[in-house]
This record gives sequence, C-alpha cells and structure tokens, in this order.
Amino acid sequence: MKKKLLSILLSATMAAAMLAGCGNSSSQNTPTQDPAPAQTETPSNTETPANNETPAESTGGTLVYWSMWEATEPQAQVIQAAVDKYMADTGVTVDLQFKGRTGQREGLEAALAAGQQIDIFDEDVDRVNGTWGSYLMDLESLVAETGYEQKASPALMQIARDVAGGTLKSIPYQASVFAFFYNQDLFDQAGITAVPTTWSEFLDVCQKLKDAGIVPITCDDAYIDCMIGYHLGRLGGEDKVVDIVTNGKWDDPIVKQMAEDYEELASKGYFSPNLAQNVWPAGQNTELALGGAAMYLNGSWLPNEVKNMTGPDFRWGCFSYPAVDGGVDGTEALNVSNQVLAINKDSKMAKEAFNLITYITQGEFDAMMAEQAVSIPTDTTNTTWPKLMANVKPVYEGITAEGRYSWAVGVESNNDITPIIKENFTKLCAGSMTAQEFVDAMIAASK
Amino acid sequence: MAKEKEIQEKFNLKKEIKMAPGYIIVLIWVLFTFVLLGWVLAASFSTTPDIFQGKTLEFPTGFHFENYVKAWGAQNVSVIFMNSLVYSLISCVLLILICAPAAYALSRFDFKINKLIQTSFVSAMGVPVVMIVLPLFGLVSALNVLNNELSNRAVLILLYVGINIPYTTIFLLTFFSNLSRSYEEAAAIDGCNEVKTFWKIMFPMAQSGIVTVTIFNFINIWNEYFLSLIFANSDKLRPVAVGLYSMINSMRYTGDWAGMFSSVIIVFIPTFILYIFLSEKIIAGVTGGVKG
Amino acid sequence: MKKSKSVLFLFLAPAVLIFLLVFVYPIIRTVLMSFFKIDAVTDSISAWQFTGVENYIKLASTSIFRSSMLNLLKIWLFGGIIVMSLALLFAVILTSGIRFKKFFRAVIYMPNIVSAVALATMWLQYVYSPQYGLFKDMFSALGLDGLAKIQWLSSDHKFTALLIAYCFGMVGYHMLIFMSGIERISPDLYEAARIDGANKIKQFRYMTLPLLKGIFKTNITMWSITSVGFFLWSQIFSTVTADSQTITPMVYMYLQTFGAGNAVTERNAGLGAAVGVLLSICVVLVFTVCNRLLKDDDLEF
Repeated sequence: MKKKLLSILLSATMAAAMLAGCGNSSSQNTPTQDPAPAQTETPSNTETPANNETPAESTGGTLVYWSMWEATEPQAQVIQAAVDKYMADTGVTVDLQFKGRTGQREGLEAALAAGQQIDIFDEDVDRVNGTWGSYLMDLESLVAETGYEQKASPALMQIARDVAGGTLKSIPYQASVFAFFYNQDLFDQAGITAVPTTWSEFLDVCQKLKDAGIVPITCDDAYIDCMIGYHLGRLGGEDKVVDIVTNGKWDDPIVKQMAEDYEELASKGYFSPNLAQNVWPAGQNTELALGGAAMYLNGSWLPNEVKNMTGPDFRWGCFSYPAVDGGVDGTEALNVSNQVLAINKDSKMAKEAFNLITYITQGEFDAMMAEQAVSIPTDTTNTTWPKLMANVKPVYEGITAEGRYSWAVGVESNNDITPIIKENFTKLCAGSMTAQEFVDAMIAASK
Repeated sequence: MAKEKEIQEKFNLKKEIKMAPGYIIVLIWVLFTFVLLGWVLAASFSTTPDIFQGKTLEFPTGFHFENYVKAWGAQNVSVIFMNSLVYSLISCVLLILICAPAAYALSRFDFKINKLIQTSFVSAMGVPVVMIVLPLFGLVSALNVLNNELSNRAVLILLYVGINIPYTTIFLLTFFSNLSRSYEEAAAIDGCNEVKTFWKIMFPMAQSGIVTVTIFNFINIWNEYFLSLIFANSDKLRPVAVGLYSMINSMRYTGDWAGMFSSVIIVFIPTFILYIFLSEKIIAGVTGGVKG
Repeated sequence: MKKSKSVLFLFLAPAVLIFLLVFVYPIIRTVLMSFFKIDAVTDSISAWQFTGVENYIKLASTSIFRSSMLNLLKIWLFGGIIVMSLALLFAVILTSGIRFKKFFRAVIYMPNIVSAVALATMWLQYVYSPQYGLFKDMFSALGLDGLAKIQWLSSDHKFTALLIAYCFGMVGYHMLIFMSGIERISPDLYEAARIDGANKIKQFRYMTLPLLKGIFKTNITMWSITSVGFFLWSQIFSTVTADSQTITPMVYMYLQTFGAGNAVTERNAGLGAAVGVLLSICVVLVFTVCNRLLKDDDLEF
C-alpha cells in the first residue's frame, strides 16, 4: 500500500516536473496546452485501489435509499442490518447511502430536482413534508393494503398526516419528545418527591434544589431558545408565538410576563453561573451529565448523547414543561419530533420501497433501534423500552396530534430575529438584563 | 541545493545571539501551538468524561487506543485516502499546467480584455461555492455522466480544477509580474520562441510561488467538502473530507468526543506527512527545472 | 511588449475556457436569482417570482444581516491586521537564516491542516473553558486576574474569542505566502546591503517591504476571499442557531438557502443569492483598491 502510494505520488510529481521545467530535452517544444498525458496516465492508477464493479445502473432491480444518518451512528447500523435482511429475504438490491444530516439537507433536493433515482429518503417530519413536500408519494393506499397502521402509533401517524395536509406521505420512526430532563439522584437528595406540573411547583423544586446546594437549571446556547419558546407557548399557544416572532409583536403582554418569570428565576439564582458562556455541549456534558446541575430542557435524545459521560446507571427523570398560570396550554402540549421515511413520487418500485420501510420501522429492527440508539420504539407492540428511556414513557404516552408543538414552539421561525432572541434571552437568564430591558430590546430589534 | 545551504550555516555564536529575539518569538508561538495541538492529541487518547472534567492531560484511566480502533472502523479509510490522493495530485498538476501560462499572459501581455479577465477571476472567488456547485449539479446530472464510476471521477477532477483556476491564476500573477523583462529580451535575442522562453526561463523563476500555490491547492482539494459531497455519487468515490466530516459528526451525535478527536488525528497525520513530503518534492521538481 | 496572438491564445485559452465552463453559467444564474423570490436553489426558472430589487432592500433593512456585515468587516480589518503582522514577522524571522527553519515553518503552518472542526472544538472546550481553561490557568499563573476572570464565551466576549481562535489558525498560511515572496528576493541584494552597512531593520524597511508590494496584494486578496467565506468557525462557535456576535453573511446566506438547523423556516434562495452578489462586489472592491494603492511600478531586481 505504502509503496504504491509513493510510486503514484512520484510518478505524478515527475510528470509535473517533466512537463513543467523544460529540462534538457529541447525536443519538448510545446508542453503548454497539453494536460492530456497526465490525465490519460493517471486514471489507470485510479482504478487499482477501488473495486472494479461499476455502481448500480438505474435499472429495475435496485432501490436507492438516501439516509440522513452517518454510517457509524447506531441508527445507521440498525438500518444497515434491516437492509441486509431485506435484501436476503426479497432479492431486491438496495443502494444505501448515508449522507448525514447536512449532506441530506444540502444535497437531496438538488438530486431530486435533477431527477436522479432516489426511491427512499428520510429526515425530520417537518422538513420532509414541508421543504421536500412536492417530491413525495401519497402512501395512504399502501398503508391500507398492508395493514401497516395496526402497529403504528396513532398520534405519530396523525401528526404525519397533519403536516402533509391531511393525507399520509411519510412514515414516522425515531420519535422524540422535548421536555425537562433531570437527575433523579439530585432530586432525591433535595427531597423532591413529585415532578412539577405548574409554574409555582416548578419554582418550589428550584428552591429546594438551591437549598440543597445544587444548581437547579443549566442549558447550552443551542437549546436556550426552547425555554422562551415553551414559556410563551404555555401562555399564548404556538400560533401566537409564531405571530410574535414573525410580525414583531413583542409588545404583547405575554412577552412581558414571560420575561418577568425568567427574571425571577435568574434573580433567585436558579440558573447555572456558566449559563451565559455555555456553548454546546459544555452545559450538557460538564454540568448536567457530571451531576453539576439538576435539570436541562432538551429532547429525549439527550440520554443517548451523554451516555458516554453518565455511564449506564444514571437515573434519568423527565417531566413536561410546567403549565403557567393564566396560560392557554397545559403540560399535554409538547414538542414531538420524529424522523420519517418517504418514497419518491417517481419511484418505480413503491411496493418494494414500502416493504423496506416496514422492515425498518416495525418488528425486530425497530426493537433493535430502540435498544441501540437509546430511543423510543416506533412499533406499538414493542413494549420494552431501553433502561435510560424508561422515565420518558409517561411523558411520551401523553402526546396527542392536536397538542403538538413544532421546534422550540415556533420561536425560531424567523431567521432574522432568532440570533437576537438568543442573545437577549441569554442575558435575561444570566441576570445581566431585566425583564423590561428584554422587552424593550426585542421591540427595538424587530422594528 | 539543500546541501550547499548546510555548509554555509556553520555555527556562529555572534550571529546566533543577534538572532535571539527571533528565536524567542518563534519559540513562544511554537510552544503555544504544541500545547494546543498536544491537547487535541491527548484528547484522542482520553475518554469523553475526562475531556469534560478538564483531565485531558492527566490520563487518569490510562491511554485509550480503542478510540482509534473505533474511528478507523467507522469508514473505509484506505479507500477515501486513495481517492483524495488521486484527485488532489492530478488536479494540482493540471492546475499548474493551465494556470501558470495564463497568469504569465495576464501579467505580461497588453490586450483589451486583460483587466476584465482578472476582475472576473477575482469576483468569481467571492461567489459562495453553494451558488456555483448546485446549479452545476443540475447541468452535469442532465449529461448522465455521473452513473459511471470513471466519468464521475473525471467530472470531479475537472470541477476541482475549474473551481481553483481563478485562485491559482490570481496567486501566480504577482510572481510573474515582478519578474524582470530583461530575461525575455535576452531569450528573444538567443532565438528562443515565446512558448519555450516561458517554460524554460520564466516558469522556473516563479518557482517559490508555484511551490506555495501547489501546496495550498493540494490542501484545498484534499479538504474540499461541499463539491465532493454533491458530486461524488457513491461511497466508493468519496474523498477524505466527506468521510472525515461524517466520522466527526457521528462521534459528536453519539457524544463520543474522544472518538471525534481520534478521527481528527487519523486524518491529520497522513495529511501532515504528505504536506512535508510534498513540499520537498515540489521544490525538488521545480528547482530541477532551473538547473537544466 | 508585442506578442503574437496565437501565443496569447495558447497561454490563456485553457484557463479561460474552463473558467467559462465552470463559473459563468452559475454566476449569471446567481445574479439573476438575486432579483427573484425562489424557494430552493435548484428550482427551475419557471418557479421563480420576479421581485426586482426587493431582496436587496430587505437585506439593507434587516438588522441581523447588517450586524453580520459588521462582524465580517471587523474580522477582515482587525483579523487582517493581526494575521498580516504576525505572518510577516514570522516570515522575516524564518527567512533570516534561523536554524530549524523547516521545522518552525511546519509547526506554524500545522494548524491549517488540522480540521477546523477539531480546532474550534479545542478552543471552545479547552482554551476558553471557565473551569479548567488554558487561558484561565495561564493568566492566573501570570497574576493577571482581570484577564483570568473574563467569560470568554459570554456574548460580550464571544466575538473576540472567535477572532483570536481564527487568527491563530490563519497565520501559517499567510506566513508561507510572505516567505515565498521574500525567498524570491535575490540574496545578492542583501549581501550588497550588508556591505553598505544596512542593519536588519533597515534592510527590512528599505528593501524587503518595498519588494513585497505584490505579495501584500496577493495576501490581502487571499485574506479577503477567505474572510468573505467565513462560515465554519462561526457555526461551531454557535451550534445549530446563529448568534448575533458571530453571525457572518455566509451563515445568513446558508440559513436563507437551506433553512435553519432545527426549526423549519421559510427559505428564499433569491435572498441568499443577493448575499452572494454583495460579497463578490466586496471582494472586487478590495481587489481594485489594493491594485490602486499598491501599484506595481515594475519593480526590477
């Protein structure tokens, strides 16, 4: 290997040197215009290391599946296992490409628009149905034919239908809920016996933790907007939050109330002193996972993300963002997000594709996914949850399609204002800004 | 050439003392760099909890070589290295062959659209690569050349070359424009034609620039991410940057930060060796021309 | 100097031809796009809605875009001054006959070939850490308690933190360019100057600097181009969501073109294209001004 590498390198540099410095051989007159020798010579080198088989042509027998995971992630490994089994069972070849999140987000649409053969792809439910909605096949008849829905979560299926405008165009898997995650040991230590469901109970919990010498709440820059989003959502509902951020209605009374509630948290010292300078993953790794802080508002992927830090015996707790007095939404309203699998409307192998989706989202491989990716099972008949997830179950079982919030309860719907919200809200939580200053700053910024 | 220099550099205390401030400044910087990169290296042998407890440099639980085993298994590392090596080498050679004459012409010849070409090259460099790559993808995929492995590779190389033409040309322009014209005049008197004059006389004189820009090109293409992501249509064609990014990302998403740092080192070491090796080779290659 | 047309053609044609092939269509398309409202970059022209200069008006009136431009200007100007002076300093030291030149050169250039993701993570998690950070330890050891207490990653200092980290990585690259320029200057000139009794500093001021004019131009052009594309560092210093301290026009463009990381936001590739056009104009401006100020008076040596 090394020798070959060296020789290729040498031959190429020599080719360069030969063409470049015209040396002694004066017969070499016009080396200028001709990059051709290098080109014809080197591809033959190129051939050797790679396999000689050509990539699958777009003929009938191959399904092309572009996935959002990276090949080494546990999700990808489970999908790979499911695909292998599927190929062995059915004889259909699957060209499975792991593109990664950014790869999918940047590359998929270009490829779809160019008409490349991609039969199946996956991503977040909102992005697939919103951003790539025009490339999706309607799956209602396939679902009805195969009886797929018998083992599917009604709430998740309803959400998938809602985002596609009333019909089913994608199959959910890997659901997650966004809620407060806490360290049960620290709660026990502070003598807290029940999770808070209202804001005043939440304040009590914080006070008890503080009295026990424990930092109640920490966060990272990546997720801090979710706190303001949830609070505004509890007070006025998601539509109102979206209205405020997209139309600049920061003079709304609920903004003031939210700011005052958070000012109170800050002034009572419930936030970690590092909050203002936590860049992800500092807060979740150095504080929450190591027992330096008790609570963190995050998605149910968190236990998996920090499992290297916490070890397998960490006792996780989970509760939905508390209801706020005078608000419109209660604890049943939650940000549920999930990945979905979708079939390209131009796919010539829809049935085969749907069969593969069933392999991945139900039965054996769904159970494997829950186990290995520390996530919530999609198949309702898979009732064993991973140990680290056990405490999410009560929260997850409360989800409904009507009570579904989107990401950060819509507070990040306006790209132009998100950074400003983040900056000012962080200052509010760090105590370097008062509630009134926050409101004024936001009104000024959205003019 | 290197040997001559060594002979000149006999130890001379007086001279060395004069140089002391220089040594001190450079040493401080080098030390700082070593601490920082040393930390990355240490982190790659550490564990995630140790990194986030600030114990990276203490190795309380020993050295963790398994980080490397895991990171290595994550990608088909030898394939992506080979791909990158081939792409980078061919593209670098082509770039010099194409851009050096162009830069020379732009620096020497007076013609109507000279300034226009220069300005277009420069403004092209300001256009975000996303805006270039995505529309091109639409065009290229319509030609149906991405379904064949060999033509897909050729397209990739053509694009690496194309994307770097403005940069390389503008970079080399300075080196040619500062060369005295008397050389060409002398060559003309000797009856050398222009093409010959360029390759035999002018090209070697810009060698420091050519060496430098080739190193930059090499590393640029080696690290090129977006274009490769979009155009490398199958795993077999992927270069290092795409593979590395995917390694790093999966380690981040699964919270394996020690593993992330070892992925970084895996990709860094060969690049670094190549950098040292290549810069020597290129220098040798170009100076070889001078002597002839 | 008169040159025959065929030679000119021979020299220029390959570069210009490939350039036309690779750049011209996308550039024309990008300029056109900036006058339309477009959902996705790859949408066909029939799906574009003509909006005139509305995208540009919107950019001018969006405060976050203005702060992104300001951030970019600060990175370009302050970062440029820091990087150029350090790079030049190192280049002069390394070319003045210092021992272990190759070793030093390699070490100073090294950060450039370490993945930016790793470097940025290292700065964030190690150097700036409030608990065990290198800066904290270093400044307390030096007795500089004021500096040791700085919350580097809070919004008041985040920009400075980003700038320092970025500059550290860039010095090596520009140093190499300066070195290649200095090495091209004939040693005979220095020999002559030494005989005339000019000391190192005088040699630098009256010989190296004037002879480096063209190199400065190249360095400034290259610096401007890399700063305009400032993206990855900003992204890692503010994961997932952008940050008003660290946002740059490229980040804004990315958000407009592909949507935000978590929330699914409205996209307008036309607006993204307008950002691209503005950035290119900035690069051209810098290049033109540079050409004017640092005019090559046909230096001969």
